[in-house]
Amino acid sequence: MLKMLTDFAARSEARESRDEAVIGEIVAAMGRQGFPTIEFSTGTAADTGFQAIKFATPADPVLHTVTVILDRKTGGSALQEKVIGSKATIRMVAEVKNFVADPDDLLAMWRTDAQNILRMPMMGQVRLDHRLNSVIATKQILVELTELDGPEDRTRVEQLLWGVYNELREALVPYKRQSIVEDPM
Amino acid sequence: MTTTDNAAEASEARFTALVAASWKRHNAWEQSRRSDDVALGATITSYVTAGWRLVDLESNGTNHLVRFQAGQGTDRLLVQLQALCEDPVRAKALGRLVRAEVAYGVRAENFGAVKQAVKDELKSSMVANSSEPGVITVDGDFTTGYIYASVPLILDLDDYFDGFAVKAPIANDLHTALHSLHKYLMGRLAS
Repeated sequence: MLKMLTDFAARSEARESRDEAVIGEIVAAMGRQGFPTIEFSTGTAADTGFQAIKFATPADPVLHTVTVILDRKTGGSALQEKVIGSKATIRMVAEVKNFVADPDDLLAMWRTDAQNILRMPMMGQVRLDHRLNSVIATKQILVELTELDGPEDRTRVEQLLWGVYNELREALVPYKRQSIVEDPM
Repeated sequence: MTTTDNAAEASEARFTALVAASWKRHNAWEQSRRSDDVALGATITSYVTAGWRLVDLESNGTNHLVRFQAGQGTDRLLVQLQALCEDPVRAKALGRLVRAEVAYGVRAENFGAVKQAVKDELKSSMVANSSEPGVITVDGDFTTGYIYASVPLILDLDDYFDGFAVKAPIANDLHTALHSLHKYLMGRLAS
């Protein structure tokens, strides 16, 4: 009886923890690339499918940090997973930091922000935003968690991560200025 | 070059040095504040790469909990990290300390074993110093049928990280503790 109950609990737990398994694969992929985690933020009791992890990018001369936000939308129950799958959005936010900011940056900021006002990160487009001494690029994609949560999916996770990473990086290269200060990260 | 030009250049160089030094100090602060997050990420990377599956992740910034399940089995590991020295002054004086509670969990074959573990947990929680380093406690989880043996440790992250870079894998030491807990738990369940 106990075995039957625990088997059921284990199956249900495995389904519920699919988003954590994908986050584990993402952290490991970034770690193997030499990008350490520097901030964790997990969901509240009401929203347990939300995880945001910020990474430093010391090996990258352009980027300062990258944040990966996984937000699970469906698949919490067995029926839901069977019918519509385990869908989640992965939002990647890459940041370029310029260590000295001056008033001319404010002018550039308005120009870029005006150009980006209609760009939708959730539609697969890269959106740029200014934060005084940093410029942020965001892209969001919809994924199926069952295709990314196992060790056999490692290559797929890496391809997905580096694909978006390179796209964001490319969008940010023009905003990285030669700095008088070395990136402290 | 005139004297005025020289003075302006010297002033600019001084300004650059001030900004660079400010970022260096800011960075020291950031490194103290974020060292527990770096340790957590390194732990996840080591275990996931070794084939363990992350099944639970909770974090509020200073208290972190991760749970892994064996890729080809049912055994579980639990690692809880609590930052003790996020303030750079404390970190400089004491080291970048974290309280690490590690637990090894096995799925119980019978209900009696879980019940006994829960009883043991209740008894040990009544002892005042059960949270001091090296004190092994046993607890059971009726919902999932797991029995865990756990031990609290205090680790200095300076032993494992130089800034954000890995000096020595923290997972090696965590695994040493987990290996001992596994041995202890197996002995206890066999008796």
